[in-house]
Amino acid sequence: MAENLLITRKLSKQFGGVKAADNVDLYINSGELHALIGPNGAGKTTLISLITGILKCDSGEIEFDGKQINDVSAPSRSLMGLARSFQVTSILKDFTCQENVALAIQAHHGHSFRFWKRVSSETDIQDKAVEVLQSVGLRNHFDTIAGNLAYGEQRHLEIAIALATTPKLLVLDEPLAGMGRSDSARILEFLKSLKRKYTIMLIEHDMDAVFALADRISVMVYGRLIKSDTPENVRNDEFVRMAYLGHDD
Amino acid sequence: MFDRKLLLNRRGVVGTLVVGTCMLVPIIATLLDEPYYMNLFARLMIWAIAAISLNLILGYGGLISFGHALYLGIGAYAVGICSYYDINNIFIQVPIALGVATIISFVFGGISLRTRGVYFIMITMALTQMIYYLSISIEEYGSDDGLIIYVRSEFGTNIINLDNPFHRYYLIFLVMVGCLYLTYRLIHSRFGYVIRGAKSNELRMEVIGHSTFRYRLVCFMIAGVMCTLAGVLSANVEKFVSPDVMHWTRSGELIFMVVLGGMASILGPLTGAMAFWLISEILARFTEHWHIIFGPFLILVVLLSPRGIDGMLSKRGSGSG
Repeated sequence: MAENLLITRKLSKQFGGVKAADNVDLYINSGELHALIGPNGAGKTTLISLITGILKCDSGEIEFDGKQINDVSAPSRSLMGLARSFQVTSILKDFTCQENVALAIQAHHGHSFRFWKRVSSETDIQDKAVEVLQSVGLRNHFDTIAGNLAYGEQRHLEIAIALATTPKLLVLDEPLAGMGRSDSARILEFLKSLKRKYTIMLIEHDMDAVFALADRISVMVYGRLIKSDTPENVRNDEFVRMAYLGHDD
Repeated sequence: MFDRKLLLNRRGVVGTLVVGTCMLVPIIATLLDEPYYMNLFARLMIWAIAAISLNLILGYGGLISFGHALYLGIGAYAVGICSYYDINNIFIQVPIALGVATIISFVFGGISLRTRGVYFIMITMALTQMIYYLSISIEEYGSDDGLIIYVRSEFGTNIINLDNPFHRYYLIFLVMVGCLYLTYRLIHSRFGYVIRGAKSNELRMEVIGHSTFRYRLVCFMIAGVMCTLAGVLSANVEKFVSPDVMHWTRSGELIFMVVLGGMASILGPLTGAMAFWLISEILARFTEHWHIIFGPFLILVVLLSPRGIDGMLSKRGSGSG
């Protein structure tokens, strides 16, 4: 098994004149929780869209689990074990929570060219869906239409859908975005419980959360990765402080 | 809770009523000595089959195909052209019709499904118009005068004889019920969930590992093949086929029926087809320019009840039943 689960080499993506990703060299070790921080517009979301295959890179290389995946489609990357959650909640709003999660499980349980049998009677899928929903604390909402959930609960469901694909690498794009304090605390606890069970790449603006959780932190500014190191070293880096963390702390 | 049950029941009652009416029409028409109604309902059910098939891609898949009448044409011309060459056995005609429909829907779906939104509408319409003009240009098969079918499809047995109006009617009825049941099974299957999920949030579906394109393509093909059956039946009712059957306005009418009845509801296309006929019939009594009233009326329906007649009967927005 590769020690570096994910490696990007000189990964670049340009939108018009803006270099959203500029020769990014990043590696993520198996088992670690790797945080990606940087000011708004630094290209963090672009980078994970490149990694998960939603965007195609202009140049460079992505290697996942020992394989070069530049030309692998987003669905196939998911099947290889790459999962992501979105910064802006992206769930199936008119489906129930259980259906949302079951659809993710279904994708990883053989093909879906099955036209006759009810999905709701496929117990292996439904049992697992129930289990995943319970693990994220949505045990009272199996049959709730996802669009009717409170915002914080939708964020939980967002993560549940990613978890349901039993990923090797879990990419979370600002899971705390727009959350109140108590909801944030709940998700934070939950993220802690995921640590070590999954390899996680976490984008987050909440610095307290990042420094509490991360094994290593990468800092991105204007599309470039300026530092990848342990939390202490990142905190003490003069350049990073100037570029991002601010002068007052 | 009680309220919702009641509403669900109301929907069930109307559904049973509509299907039941279709089943009883021949008996009532015979008792009243009004064979006209039997022919009328046979036609309505054929429209309904076409609309049921369109509902798969339009209602459940969220893809506005503006060329679905093409498959009515394929089915009807398959019977017409076969009969032109004295091939009247339905067990030869139907496989030919379905084979052609499979190939064409595969190619056309493969092209059009690479686009989205307005482009998808335009491409599906353009592809159908292409075949429409092809059918006009072939003199051998009557060009725009159409092709008269002298002999109806034969089953090779006296048990089913399509010259008998009762046999014809109940064959159409059975095919329609079969299509309704198939829809019901389909949308609750794995396949159906992928199709409906892709309508709800395509990006999400891709990211969790579903390659939506190929499922949509198969759905497009199932819809095309199902509609081809309606075309085969239509040729046997009319004993005539002309390019008009796949004119783009026909495709538009099919969309009206689906929207009117309620997108993504199983019985919606059937009630939609009935309502479409009823409204146009009533309006046509007042003026021959009834389309002018019908258009705004449809817009009104969509604004007031986005899910059509089905939406009026049930309040829940699940779109699953």
